Amino acid sequence: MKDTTIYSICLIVFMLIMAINGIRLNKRISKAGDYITGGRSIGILLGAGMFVATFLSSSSIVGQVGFVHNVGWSGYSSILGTVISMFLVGYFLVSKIREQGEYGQETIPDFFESRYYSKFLRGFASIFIVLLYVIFVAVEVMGLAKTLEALLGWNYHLSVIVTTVVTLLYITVGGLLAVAYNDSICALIGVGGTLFVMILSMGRLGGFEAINLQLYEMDPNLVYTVSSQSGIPFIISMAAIWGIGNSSHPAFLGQAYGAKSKISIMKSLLISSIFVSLFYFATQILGGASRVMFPDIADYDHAFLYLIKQLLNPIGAGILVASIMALVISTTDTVLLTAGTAFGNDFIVKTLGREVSDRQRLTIVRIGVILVGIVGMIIALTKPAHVLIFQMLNFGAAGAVFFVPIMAGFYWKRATKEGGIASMVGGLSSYILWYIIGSPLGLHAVIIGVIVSVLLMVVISLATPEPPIEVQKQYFSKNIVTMEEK
Amino acid sequence: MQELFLGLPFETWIMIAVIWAIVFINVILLGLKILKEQKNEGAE
Repeated sequence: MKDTTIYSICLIVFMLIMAINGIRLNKRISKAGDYITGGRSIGILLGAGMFVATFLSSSSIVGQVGFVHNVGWSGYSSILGTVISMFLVGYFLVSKIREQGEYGQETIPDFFESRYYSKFLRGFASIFIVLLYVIFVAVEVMGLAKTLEALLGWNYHLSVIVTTVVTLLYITVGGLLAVAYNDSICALIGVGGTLFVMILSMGRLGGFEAINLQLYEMDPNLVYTVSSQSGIPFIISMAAIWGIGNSSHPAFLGQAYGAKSKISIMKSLLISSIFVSLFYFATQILGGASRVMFPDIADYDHAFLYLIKQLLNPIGAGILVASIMALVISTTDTVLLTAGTAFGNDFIVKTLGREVSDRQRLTIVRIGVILVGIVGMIIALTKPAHVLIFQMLNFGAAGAVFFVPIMAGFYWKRATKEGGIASMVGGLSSYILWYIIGSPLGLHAVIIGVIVSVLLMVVISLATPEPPIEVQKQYFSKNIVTMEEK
Repeated sequence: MQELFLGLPFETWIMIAVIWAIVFINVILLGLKILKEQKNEGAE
């Protein structure tokens, strides 16, 4: 049997497991809250698996090994932003977000309406999330389909349809619980398998030092972190951009509402930050090992596949390929669920103020998820030329729009509704404007967006009456009054 | 030729140290925060 056939069988088995998991977990969903937050039943390990899988997208797996294969150790500095964002999310945000779950919050737009006592902000955030994530879903599916086409010989259009339908199937029926279980399985096999291949590759090439010395002999620049293209200011600014962008994404932050408690979600983050960091260190070594073993690869993105084909038997390689592909799907599922919930729950039901029963709310959220998935799939099928530019803007835009209102909302009592609106709208406008005029002075648009967002938040908040006392009590009093007590 | 340790120059080790320092600071601070929360819950 051909290797690609074995890999395809493994992937199909993985997809079936994911779909069955979703259907199995459907039994635990009777209310909209069960669907959106998993009934707040996600424990420490499940939460850790969910965060690991969400932090690792297609660019961080296949892309990172290929990137390091090409540039050597200067590729390692690219993970600075990820570790900074794990710190910001883990230390400053998740426990605060989960605490607000006690007041009935289920989504990040819920937070914006509650903290800034503004329906407009909920609507604005919801629409922005949908627009942002439809593109995100399309690009992730496009990347996955192209990889399946190149590595396994699958037809591109069929790959887009199969991956979207499987993802939609388990999310539509299983909600956040299905995301958590499937993400954890993918994270366990994907991260474990990558660490295992790292050990095998070091064994094959004589260890860590031997790999580096061979890289040095090929080209001394491969062992330096600061290359001629990426000076220290560039590294710092990229770290700031990724750190802010990653830690502002509602898809990451909203998962905290599903945790059992704020202590459990902090423990999940603690575990996941160790595994994500180990994973990236492994991809660094694998990139170097692939450069030593296959210096003449035409397409760097195939470096990881070459390595595992060389180091594992076909079934082992097939399982790893399948789990890596599934990890890509697991990033898409979280984003899809967040966008669908933002559309159905936050915009249709809560912003437009439709009077619906809980059962109807559940149906509307599911329809929202399906609609966002179908639109993303159609975009992926048509392969529009400029979609990648939108994706590049994606992370930055989330940072410029959400970072300041979220941080100020939790840590500055004086932040007001007017300040929140000005900060969000001003952050987005200045981000787009700065990008359109070509990012003068070499300053990335995110930096300008965040500076404008901070200035507007401070000036407008101080110029307007302070937030209502109940808002201040809910966010800044140590004695939390739970929903039941209310 | 710059002196290498385990095949890597000094500046690369600084980058590795910075990244892992952030990871460990995160783990330690988060660990302390968890302990504090557990203590608070115990007291209540």
